[in-house]
Amino acid sequence: MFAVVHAHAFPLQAVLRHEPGMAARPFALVDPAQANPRVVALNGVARASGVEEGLTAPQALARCPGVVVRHRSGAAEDAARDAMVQAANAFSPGLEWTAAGCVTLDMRGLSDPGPEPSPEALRGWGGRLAEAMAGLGLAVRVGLGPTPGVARHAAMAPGTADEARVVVVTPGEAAAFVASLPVATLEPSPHAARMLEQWGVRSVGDLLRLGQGELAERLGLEAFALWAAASHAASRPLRHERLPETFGEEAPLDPPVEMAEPLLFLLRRFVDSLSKRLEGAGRAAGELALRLRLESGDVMDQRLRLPQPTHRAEVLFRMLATHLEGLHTPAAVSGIRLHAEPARPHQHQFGLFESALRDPHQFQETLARLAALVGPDRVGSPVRIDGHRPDQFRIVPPDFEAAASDVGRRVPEWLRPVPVRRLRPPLPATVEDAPRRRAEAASSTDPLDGRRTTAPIEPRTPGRGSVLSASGMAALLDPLFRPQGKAPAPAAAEGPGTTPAVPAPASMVPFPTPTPGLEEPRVHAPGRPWAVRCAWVEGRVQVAVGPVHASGGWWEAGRAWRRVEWDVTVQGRHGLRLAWDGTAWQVEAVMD
Amino acid sequence: MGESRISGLEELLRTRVPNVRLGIHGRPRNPVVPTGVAPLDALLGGGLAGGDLTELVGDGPVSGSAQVLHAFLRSLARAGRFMALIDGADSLDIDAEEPAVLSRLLWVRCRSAAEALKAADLVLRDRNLPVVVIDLKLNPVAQLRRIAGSVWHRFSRLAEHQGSTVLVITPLALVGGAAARVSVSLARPAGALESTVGPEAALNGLRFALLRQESNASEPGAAGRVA
Repeated sequence: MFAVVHAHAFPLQAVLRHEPGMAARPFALVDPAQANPRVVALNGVARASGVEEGLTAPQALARCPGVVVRHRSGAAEDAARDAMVQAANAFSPGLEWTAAGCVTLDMRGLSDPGPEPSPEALRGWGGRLAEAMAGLGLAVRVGLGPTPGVARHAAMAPGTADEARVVVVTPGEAAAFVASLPVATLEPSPHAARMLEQWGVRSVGDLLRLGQGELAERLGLEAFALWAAASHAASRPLRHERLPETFGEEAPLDPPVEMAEPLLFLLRRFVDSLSKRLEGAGRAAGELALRLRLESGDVMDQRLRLPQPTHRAEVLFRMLATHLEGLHTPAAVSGIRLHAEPARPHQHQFGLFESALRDPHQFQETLARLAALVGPDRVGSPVRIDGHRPDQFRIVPPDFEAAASDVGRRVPEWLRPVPVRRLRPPLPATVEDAPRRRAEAASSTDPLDGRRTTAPIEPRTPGRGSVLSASGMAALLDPLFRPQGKAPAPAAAEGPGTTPAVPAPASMVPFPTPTPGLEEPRVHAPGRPWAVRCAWVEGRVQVAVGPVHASGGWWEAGRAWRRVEWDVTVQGRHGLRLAWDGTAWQVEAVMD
Repeated sequence: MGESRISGLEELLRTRVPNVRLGIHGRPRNPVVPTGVAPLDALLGGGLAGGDLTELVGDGPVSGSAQVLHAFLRSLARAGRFMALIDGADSLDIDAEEPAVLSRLLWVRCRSAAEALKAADLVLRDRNLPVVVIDLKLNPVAQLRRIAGSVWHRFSRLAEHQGSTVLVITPLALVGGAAARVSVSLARPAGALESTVGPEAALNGLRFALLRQESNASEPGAAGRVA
């Protein structure tokens, strides 16, 4: 048995299959390749309004002012052709693209509907085939017969069960069926058709009764072609079609659209069609390529990579919708094309004790939304940049499938640094350091030679160069450190060594403020911090741990850096990490 | 009026059925998620409530909440789990964590509490990440005061629906409807910076207090301390 799938008025259906609403309106296609474009296809509504093939667009509009006239689209026909072939391939691998909108399938050897199927089984099989085509937006009729010719007659012959989508002709019925067809079914040339009409030959049966020899004597070589087409027993090998590996949909937009909604509507239909085609071919989309043709002539291309190959229409559409949400085009969109790169469907075996993302596609979409909210460089997994400079990292897209599992094996617990809370960007600070001579004296007792000293700073006497005050502190403290309704901590609770309150200066004293005669000019690193003032806190340093020297990049011109860090406590309540980069102090982190 | 009727009904039931146990049947508890901090887990009955919100109030500028956060990160990574950190003030200390932990983290670096809440809403609706931490410790109190109570209610419903475990770190009691509220503070003098470096540093001197809990794992007011 053979099956033929026929899409009537294929160029028209190729353009209209993504616009089902147009079916109710008069619609005609003109061929832009012609010098004077004429109507080449039209729907029934337009025909009923007086439009017919061969009219020019103005003539068609004169007969039916409401007719929608569009150009025939070769790209849309190619996409529809690929869609038909891919859908038909899911039913039988032996298929032929016989003519525009006509696919012939070899049903021999198929497990479904079986070796000797009943007419009901054949009708059911043909119904599923027609349903698959309808899912692609194509209204087709399926004919089944013992030869490709009979199947084609069943699918294309006018007047044979027009209402039915599936016409089944069993081998026993084939001769009578073909004989009953009008002779026009054989598509004779105009000359032959006129002669046959003059002879009174109306049906194929009338033609067959003439005999092949008699017919050849009068019609010449064309008689053999007509005879072969009228045969109910002659078969032929199919020219097997190579399955297209491209999965794309394209449509012109007339008039051009400026809003996202019409685009999304069309994309939804594209995605539905592509999803069915991919599923039928046993493939999945690994990447989507979206092309928007603008009215200005420009083209906008965007490739959207899927976290995992899939053919699920919802996932593909969500990705496109998210992309279009943030897209602005300089001109209206006059054409759209969506192409899916085929890939093998993702298969994942979940481990018994391993957790993985439940829905990677949803996760990808969430990442896109988060990136739109906070910025693409602020969402992802952090990766430290190798080096000694603190807080150097980059953000990469999360790849939890490849996440390392050797947690805690590389760094012993006792070597792990105590986490702080980073301030990004760091807070500028004014730091007054202790007189250098005194700092050197304090650190000289340290066995680490001043690298790490925790000796408390000797309090200064009020009025001797102190620029900070406890009373001026409250106004500067961030509410974070002084929650509403919480009374400020009394000065006595600040611990030993707190600077007594002194009147706040009218203006901040710029740093550095060396005491004349007592300080050497600071060239590289300043001494131990003695008092700190920043937007968050202001006060006398109680404990200072440091200095921690670090440097790097000196081997590359312009990339050298050098810094000194101190961890200090202020007011007995705040722990700060101060950093001196050679030019200024900054609060880089707070202890918590 | 309603309360008196309920009381009357309860009294009647007690009279007629002496052995009756009155109470509202709570929803079944999801598995808890250990934080990796033993005293905190002990206070919470094993860990953070699954499918619910837990609030960790960092009491004071130097409270130890960052240490708890990093311990939680490591604990989850060791268990092979992933988590999202909604960082309200972009304050995560990358240098304190090893790459294996960071590779299991989705870090959302926000600029304000409002932005963090929007991001948290997106992550909670995603249902891919079973553990979400919303860190608002460094956000100004003025921003936090502007958060409507309905936000936490919505998060609570989302967490329940998605089965997510949500930890909210705040500088003050903020989250209404949280399954548990625990405060953390530094037991040692804040000036003793020398104890924050070196082998004894990790989680050293943290004191936890249970301020509120829905279940009966521990009574409110109970306290735990890392020796």
